Amino acid sequence: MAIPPGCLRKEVDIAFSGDTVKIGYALWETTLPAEWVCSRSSVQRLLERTSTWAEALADPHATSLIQLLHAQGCFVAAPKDTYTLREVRDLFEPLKSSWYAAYYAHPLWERLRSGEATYNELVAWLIHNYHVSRAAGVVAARMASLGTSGRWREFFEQDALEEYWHCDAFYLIDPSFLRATRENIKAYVPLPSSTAFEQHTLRTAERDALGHVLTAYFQEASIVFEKDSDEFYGKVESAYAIPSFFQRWKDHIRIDVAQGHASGLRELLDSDITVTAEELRYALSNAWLSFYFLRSSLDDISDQRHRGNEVLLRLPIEDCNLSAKRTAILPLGFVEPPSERLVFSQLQSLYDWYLNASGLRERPEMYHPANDDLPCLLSGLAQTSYRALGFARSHDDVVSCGRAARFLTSIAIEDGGAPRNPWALAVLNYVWEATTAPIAWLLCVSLALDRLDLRRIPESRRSDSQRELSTSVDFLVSRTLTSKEADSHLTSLLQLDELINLYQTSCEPVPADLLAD
Amino acid sequence: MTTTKASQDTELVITAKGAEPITIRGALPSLHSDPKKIHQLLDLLEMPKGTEVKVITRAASVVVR
Repeated sequence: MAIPPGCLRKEVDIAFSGDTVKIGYALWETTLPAEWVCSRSSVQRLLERTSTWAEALADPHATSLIQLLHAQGCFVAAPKDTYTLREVRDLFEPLKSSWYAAYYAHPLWERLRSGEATYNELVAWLIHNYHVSRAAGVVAARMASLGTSGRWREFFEQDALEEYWHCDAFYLIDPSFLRATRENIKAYVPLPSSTAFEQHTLRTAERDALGHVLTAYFQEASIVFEKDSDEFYGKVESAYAIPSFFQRWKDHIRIDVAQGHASGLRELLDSDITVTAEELRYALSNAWLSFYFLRSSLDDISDQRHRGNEVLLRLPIEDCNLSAKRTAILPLGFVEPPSERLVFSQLQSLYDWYLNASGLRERPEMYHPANDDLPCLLSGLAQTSYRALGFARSHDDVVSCGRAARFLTSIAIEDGGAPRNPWALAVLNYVWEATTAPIAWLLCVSLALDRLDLRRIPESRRSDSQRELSTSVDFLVSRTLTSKEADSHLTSLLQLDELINLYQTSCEPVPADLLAD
Repeated sequence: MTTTKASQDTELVITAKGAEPITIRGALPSLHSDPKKIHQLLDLLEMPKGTEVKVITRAASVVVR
């Protein structure tokens, strides 16, 4: 049930325990004497969410508590038709704090702090941070190249130039520490959540300037935890015997502070320019998704657990070597590669082999009825087809992509809506980013459709569509691949399958109304 | 209801319909920029005896960008 404006948010936790009442929200906990709470009906109703803070003000003794809870952002704001950017900023602050609280509550942090996390988890976390840093300048540049606002475009042009080199200077890990080469680190295949985060922020930068600013602000404003961060780094250095390892990270934080990255982003929102309620909801949703993928990366890192000090990097496929001992990107139980290496020399045979490879063919039960994003996925895939066609240049690519666009449009469900499952969006973003390379895109869209199972499509449309699609792929059957191309395609399909698997197994939906929760 | 800020750092006025305006004066820190300032805020407010506040989040590495 929706919480009325002016009442305590759903996420505010109220706990009566003995002679105290604890109110927890975001980063804070307030403890009140239970006797006082029980003696004031106005306060009781406030905590029961049966009165608003304005109604509770009728009791002067409740004023201070209301002030304290307001400062933390505990109350649902009254909805408006439009908001100034300044109001957006003030509404975002408590959301940001609650997301920090959720982020830092993940058990991985304590495991790293204590040395309980395996060496492979530590490496995965370090490289994940390198990937997030590597994306920063790229995402800012995407915003600067496509943004329309003069002031914001100038800000992100400067931001891109300030950020792009930080991954190289501060986060590219010393290979000797990892017992790997520098090229291995650069080539490390990002964790699925790292990919999802990067690609979501790229798409947000393209089409939602406000969501992009809020996401960047969420990232940069975490310097408020610099002191805790320094303490954490010290603990990890001690736990893993890597003295002074994080000095460069600390240097980076100092640069961010000196250059005023967080305050600069906050100042972008210090304006009376207005946005509609719909634009605000969209921006908050995009910012939440960025936070969600960052938090999910902590799960992915934990999944990299190996015994002892073994390190198994997520290396891209090389020379069609599909040994699970060489790279962690291969799922458990992945079948031995075909005895005939020629399978990988042709596009069609590579795809056919991959689709049926053991370890990937056995899929969990697909649909969570509450998160059925099939219409959204189909309409999204159709949209990608036009972009892919827009990047096609050779005769074969133009015809292949055109056919695929025709087919996908024929099966798309109009008004697919926004995805409820974040990983549906991650899958779409992955396919979207592949559109600049038509063959890679065609493989991705084929895999997405095959994993989505055309069973849900009406019979009459499916038979035509399948014929159309197979014709489309058959058109490429004579496409010969070099060894490097085959490696790249196999790696890409494995990455997409990771995202599809998360779509099939995750059920946390995108919140319907972030201002009311 | 209206809420106005004469100065972000010195005064907060809350007006509820039909009620006298309530003014809080003093440094009003933005908690979200410095979570530990909740203690400073508590000092400004007249809360019942026995009230406590604390930051319950133990942060770790800052979010990289």
